[in-house]
Amino acid sequence: MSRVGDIKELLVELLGGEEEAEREAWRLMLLIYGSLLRKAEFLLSLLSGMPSEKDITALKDPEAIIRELKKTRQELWEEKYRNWFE
Amino acid sequence: MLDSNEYVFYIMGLSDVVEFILNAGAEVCVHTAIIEEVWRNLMAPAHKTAFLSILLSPDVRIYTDKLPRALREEYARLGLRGGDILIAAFTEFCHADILVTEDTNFGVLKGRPMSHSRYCPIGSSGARACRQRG
Repeated sequence: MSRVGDIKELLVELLGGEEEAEREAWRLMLLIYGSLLRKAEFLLSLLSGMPSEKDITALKDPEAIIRELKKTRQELWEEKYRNWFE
Repeated sequence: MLDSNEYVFYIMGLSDVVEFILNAGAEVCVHTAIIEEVWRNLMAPAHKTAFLSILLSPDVRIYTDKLPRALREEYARLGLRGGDILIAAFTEFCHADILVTEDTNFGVLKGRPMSHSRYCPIGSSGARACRQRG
C-alpha cells in the first residue's frame, strides 16, 4: 500500500462510498490539524491590519534592539495594556 | 516565558535560545502583548514568516488573559515600569518556570522567588547560559 490511489480505493471500500471517504478524510484532517488551524485563525485576526512600523533587524547592536523593542512596549502599554489588569 | 528580544534575536540568527527551548520539549507561554511588540518591529516577509512559524509550534501557548491587578502593583513596587510590569506579571500568572530575557531592567527580579518562576537573564552567552540553568 504505497500509492495514494490505493489508499483511496481502500477507504472507499471500507467506508462504503466516495462521499463517506471524503467526509472521513476531512474529519481526520480537523482532528489532527484543528488546533493548528484555530491558532492560525486567531493569529490572523490579531495581526491583520496591524502595521509594521520599523525593521528592527536593520539594527545590529543587541542593546539598540532591546531599546527599540522597549519603545514599542511602552507605546503598547499606553495604548492598550496598562488596562490589561482586573 | 520568552521576552520579545529572544524572538527577534532568533529571527536574526543572533541566538538559538528559542530553538533550544522548543527542541527541549518545553512549553513556551506567550502573551499577545509580546506578539504585537515583535510584529510591529518586523517588516521583511521572511522575518514575519519565521515568527509565525515559531508561534504555530505546538508547544507555544498563546494567552490573551487579563492579569490580576495585585500583580501589577507587586511588580511596580519592585521598580519595573510600563510594559515590563505586564511581562513580569504574565510570567507569574502563567506559572512559567523561567523568564528568559536579555533586558537588564528585569534584574530587579534576580534572586527573587516568584510564586512559580525564576528570572533567567541569559545575556549574550545565549543558549549556553540557559542550558547551564537546566
